Amino acid sequence: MRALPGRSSRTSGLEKPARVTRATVPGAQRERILRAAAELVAKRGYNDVSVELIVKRARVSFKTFYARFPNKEACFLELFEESFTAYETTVAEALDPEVEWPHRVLAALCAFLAEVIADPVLARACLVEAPTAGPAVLERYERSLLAFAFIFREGRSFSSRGEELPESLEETLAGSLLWSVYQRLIVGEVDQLEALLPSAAELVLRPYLGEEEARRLGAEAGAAAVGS
Amino acid sequence: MRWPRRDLDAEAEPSRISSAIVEVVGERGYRQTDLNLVLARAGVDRGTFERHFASLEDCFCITYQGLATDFLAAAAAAFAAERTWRDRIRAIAYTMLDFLEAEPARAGFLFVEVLFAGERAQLIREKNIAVLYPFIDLGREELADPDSVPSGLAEVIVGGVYEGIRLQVCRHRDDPDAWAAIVPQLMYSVVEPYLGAEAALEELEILRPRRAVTAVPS
Repeated sequence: MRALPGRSSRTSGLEKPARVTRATVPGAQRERILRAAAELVAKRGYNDVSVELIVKRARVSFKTFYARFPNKEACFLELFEESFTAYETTVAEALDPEVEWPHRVLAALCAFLAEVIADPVLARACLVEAPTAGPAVLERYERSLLAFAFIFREGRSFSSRGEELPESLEETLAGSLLWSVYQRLIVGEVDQLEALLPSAAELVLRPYLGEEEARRLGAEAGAAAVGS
Repeated sequence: MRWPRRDLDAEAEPSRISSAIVEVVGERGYRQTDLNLVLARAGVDRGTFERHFASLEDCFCITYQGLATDFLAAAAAAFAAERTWRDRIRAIAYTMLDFLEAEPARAGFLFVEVLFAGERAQLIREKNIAVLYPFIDLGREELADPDSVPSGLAEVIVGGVYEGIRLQVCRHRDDPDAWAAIVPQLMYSVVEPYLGAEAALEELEILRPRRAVTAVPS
């Protein structure tokens, strides 16, 4: 069933060739299995991916698969753990402590969106499908969301009313950010992701810096991204 | 569609099965829910079930859509009963709370377990979330220049609010009394981009209406 036109884009616009690796190297086999799992889950959704499909796509045997993972769930848990850690590392590396918080946030958003754009298949796997893969993966997804919330929270010190802001504000902001990326991914609008930067920056900075300054910085970030 | 009542004989079979799946999934989680558990809870046999639903997933999806339809009808009525945009959105928020508190298993079913129920459930979830966008987007009409805020903002706000509710439900799944605390906070996030910080901060001080703004299906 395909009630929404957007999800039909599962099969288009997100294909990226699997990395070329040597099957004889155990590390490369593991990488191929995880890449195959990511491509399949992005294309078919978690419930419709089987170990059989993974081994076929990764061009490894069942024996090789089960030597590394006890089951499909463990394979995906490892894929998502590794991928979310990679996103978090990318964002953390963009946070220059010498730079003031608003520009650190812009750098973090820019780095995150660049990572999503660089590999939309993996992004779809992590930001659209991962939450559907069961409670353990959902919890891991939430940890990444909370990592963004933690970065945003420092903005309270830039607001004269920072102490009055609602406790859950940063989680809502992080949820909004991920939802806007999710929406572009499910309709296959990967080319629209970069255009999200100014509005995402404005959304996140606005509660702390006010509308005018947030809009100015959002526009600045958008112009810098286009120029880079 | 009517929802749980204990007078089993008087209930229609699909309604009784839907009530059962909400309860069982709410208690155990979708992945741990076996069709036999739903049948036992509903007090029907497999043949009866199969007259109404093709599978457990089908039953989940139809039940989800039934709940969403009931909630959205109550939300639309609550919205229409108020005069200002802020009051209208707050009425929707408390209608949601009333709706979940009326049958606490609904919270886990609608906000958490739906994620694990397959592709069709995701489509239905996304479609129903999108129904809320126009309610939020009317906030632009409060502005001197409605075009100063993009219409796409409503989608982003709804996404954040949805995530806020889901996190609250996940953290306090067995404690419905804790859910109400999130409503003023989420109202802040809805109001701030349209009406500014002062109006948004006022939301944190506004108490829950004593009674449901509009009767919710129970």
